[in-house]
Amino acid sequence: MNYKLVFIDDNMREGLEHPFVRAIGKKRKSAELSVFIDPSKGLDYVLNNLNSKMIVFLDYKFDGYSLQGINVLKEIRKRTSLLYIVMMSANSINQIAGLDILEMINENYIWFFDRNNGTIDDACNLIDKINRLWNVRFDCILENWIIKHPNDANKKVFSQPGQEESYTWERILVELREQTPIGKMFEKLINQFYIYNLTTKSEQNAEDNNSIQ
Amino acid sequence: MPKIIIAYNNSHNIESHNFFQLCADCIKQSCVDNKYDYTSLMPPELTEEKIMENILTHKFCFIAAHGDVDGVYNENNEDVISTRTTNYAFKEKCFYSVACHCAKNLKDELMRIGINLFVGYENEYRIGYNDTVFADCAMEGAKQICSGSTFEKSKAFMLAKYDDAINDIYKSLDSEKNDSIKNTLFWDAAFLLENKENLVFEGKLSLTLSDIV
Repeated sequence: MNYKLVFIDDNMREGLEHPFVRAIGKKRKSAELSVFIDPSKGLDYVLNNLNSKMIVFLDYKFDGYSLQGINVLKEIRKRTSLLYIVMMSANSINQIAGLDILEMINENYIWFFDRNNGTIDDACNLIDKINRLWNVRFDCILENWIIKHPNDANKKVFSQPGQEESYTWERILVELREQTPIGKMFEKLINQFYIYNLTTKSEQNAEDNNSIQ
Repeated sequence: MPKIIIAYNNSHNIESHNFFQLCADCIKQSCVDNKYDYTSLMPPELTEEKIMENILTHKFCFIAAHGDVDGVYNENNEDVISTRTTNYAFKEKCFYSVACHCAKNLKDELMRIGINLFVGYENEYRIGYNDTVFADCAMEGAKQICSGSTFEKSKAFMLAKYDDAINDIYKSLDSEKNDSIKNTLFWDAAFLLENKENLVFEGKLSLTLSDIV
């Protein structure tokens, strides 16, 4: 399954010619690569593509730009908590000024890549690790389902009583990725409901087995 | 005989007023069946002043209105009972509500004062397409309390009522051929489960309504 790999870093250059980017592109062919030197352009791109599976490699420090990596990170987090972001720095994580970045890295979906000591393979391992996490995430399973069953994309699957608006699977995917109240509610209720049903069924089976014995 | 306050927002211009009316009708019927006196409070009498005045001579207060973590509100968004109102008259009384989120700060406040029973919901109370089923489940605890069951037994009956309603809907999903109806049924079951999981039924559970002085 394809995904977007976005690099926001003023040490790179536009296009895909930076050795780091080119090497990753060769090793991970299903990734659709983009490079942004200007953090605000990178941020715009990310925010306009939140309904895609995406990993953002984000530089911590931008020379000559008012927008810094931490600001980009915060702006993205205002819109979604699901997007995987890899913060890159030439300094070790302990040397990065400001505790907020450390706090944020302790949350899910934020990773750190040491530019000085990290190799291309390290970056690829990180990408693979994120890919494995994608396999079990609700939004990614739904996206895969829509790709395999395109006729289902426009099926209406949810509407709220008393409201005319209805949601198709395609729309639900966007709501999930953007972590809207509907998206969050949808995911929680579906997961909860299936846990409940499996639990109820397993209790019923146990009762049936006991009555047979 | 114990006296019960039945306060509800049936103002036609507010969302869910039909559901609030349904809930009020359920508990009124229980009062009639068990020969309890009740006092109805609805707009324009759904006010803090009326509630606090009446609770002095009543044992049990049911409120069907909109709420948030801090309290329950009337048709003008004024506090009916909240963390900002003076609630000492509720000491050793019972509070039962279908208001969203009321089992958070308001519950803590009423438990601190020394209420004997608090029934409410931690998160949003979700109402599905078949609102009668939702009202029946929401009011099962009150129905049992009025019939003389201990609060503990009433809680168990209420949870079982939710389970039965969810399972009945789930079973009907298999035989339902119409996709749209199937979808509606699924969400009704998921919403009921969400309400069941958010139900808070706390207090001196060994008591019955007639134990309340």
